[in-house]
Amino acid sequence: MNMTGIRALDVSALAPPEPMERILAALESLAPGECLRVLHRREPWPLFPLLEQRGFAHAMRPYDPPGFVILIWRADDGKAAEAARNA
Amino acid sequence: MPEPGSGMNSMALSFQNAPPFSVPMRFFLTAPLFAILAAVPLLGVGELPLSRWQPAVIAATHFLVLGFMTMVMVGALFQLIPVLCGGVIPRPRLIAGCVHAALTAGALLLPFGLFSHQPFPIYAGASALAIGLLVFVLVACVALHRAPGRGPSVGNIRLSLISLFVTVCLGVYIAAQHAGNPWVQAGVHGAEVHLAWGLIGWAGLLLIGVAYQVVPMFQITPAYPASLQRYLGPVIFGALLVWSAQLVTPLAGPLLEPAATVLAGALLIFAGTTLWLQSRRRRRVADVTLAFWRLGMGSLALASLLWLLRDLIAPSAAAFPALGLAWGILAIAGCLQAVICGMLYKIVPFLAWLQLQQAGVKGAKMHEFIAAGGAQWQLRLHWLSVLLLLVTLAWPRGAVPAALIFAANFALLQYNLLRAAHTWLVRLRGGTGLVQRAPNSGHL
Repeated sequence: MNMTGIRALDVSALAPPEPMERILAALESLAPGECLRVLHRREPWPLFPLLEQRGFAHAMRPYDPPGFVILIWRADDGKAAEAARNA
Repeated sequence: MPEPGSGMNSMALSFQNAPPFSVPMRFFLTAPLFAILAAVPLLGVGELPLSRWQPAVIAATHFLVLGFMTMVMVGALFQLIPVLCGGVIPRPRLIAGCVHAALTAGALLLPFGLFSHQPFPIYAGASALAIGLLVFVLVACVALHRAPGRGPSVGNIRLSLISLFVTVCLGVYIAAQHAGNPWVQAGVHGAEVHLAWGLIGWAGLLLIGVAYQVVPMFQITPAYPASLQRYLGPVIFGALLVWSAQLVTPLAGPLLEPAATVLAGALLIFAGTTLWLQSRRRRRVADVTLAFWRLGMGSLALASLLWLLRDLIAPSAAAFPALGLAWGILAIAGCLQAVICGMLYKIVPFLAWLQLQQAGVKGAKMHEFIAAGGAQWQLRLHWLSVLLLLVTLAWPRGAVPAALIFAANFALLQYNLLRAAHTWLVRLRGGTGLVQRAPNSGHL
């Protein structure tokens, strides 16, 4: 994934909670204006309250083959939100 | 593009309703003690060929199915009903505390009474179990009735709770028979129906419903076939109803053989499908949970085949007691206990890690809660326990070494779980964990 402001992370072949561990680790180093685009096999429900608690916004959509794309950015980062909208 | 947070739905919210870590953990930390206790009555047998009607075997079986198996399953349901089904169990600490106390008291007293032929502990134990488990069934059914979650897993959980209710009712009746109550009629068929509802209905249907979720999730396998998910649970439940006809009419005889064949065939299909899915997993990393599952599914397949082929294997009536005992060893120790051990090694670190995340504790890793070496050793001891228990069918004196290895096996499970709870507590209090780990012990 080479889109501007987008960092890609594929956790679709990992077992729980490794996807969550990797996503939270990646978010800690997210640069201003940057959005994390996660490819996941399942809807990671336990992740969402943690994102909210840590000040991140997210959006999710289905992805083919059966899976989901989750876009995550800092809730107060307008540039990253714009990058997520264009992703 | 959806708005931020639009991915949340009732299932996400339901995770917010998950109980505190202490709710399931009190059940998980109590269960191995009962498995150790189950070894005690077996130390006294060995002079006679074993039979499942011997008091020591009945006592050991009930320590296992009540104190270990039901203890873990009830604890897990306090977690699964909110997370998997979206159900809300009100005041989970209070209800879990009452159910846990009743189950612990009943699982101690009833097997003791059955072993020693004393009516008082039988009545007291059966009463405690009836109160605790029926309260649990009621609370769980109300939560499931109001829950938004649907689908085969939730359906199987519902059927397994109904099966628990039937098992408890029949169990209380049979306990009264054992206590010599003049108000109940003696009859051996009640026991056959009771154990079928307990092992296949309560334990089996819950195992199958949970497997639909956890096998693809934790072992990165394809999903179970949709038709199997839809029909397997109802077929098993229907066959159990037919099997129960022997309680009310002696005319049910011709129906029993087809019902038993359907039950064994359904279990064989489930075990075979699970092993097939696991052979197609995407990530081929050695995993102790997978190894426990394989032992469990192999044992279930073997138990089902023994049942289907029993007329060929044991044409003489004399061989039937050993066959019945072999089926029990494979079903309880080989399948259910193995899968439970494997799942505990996934669920306990996952819950501990998740609770720390929710408490804002950073830096914890899931693999630090269970030492890989400890779990591997317990897997080896469990394999050995199952094999030695099977050897006792041909060599009754082997019951003593089998019981000792069995006790050591579950003492190690207890240690591994206590270590996980200790690491969680230390992390929560701001430490980094007191137990040092080898650098290569990162995987379960």
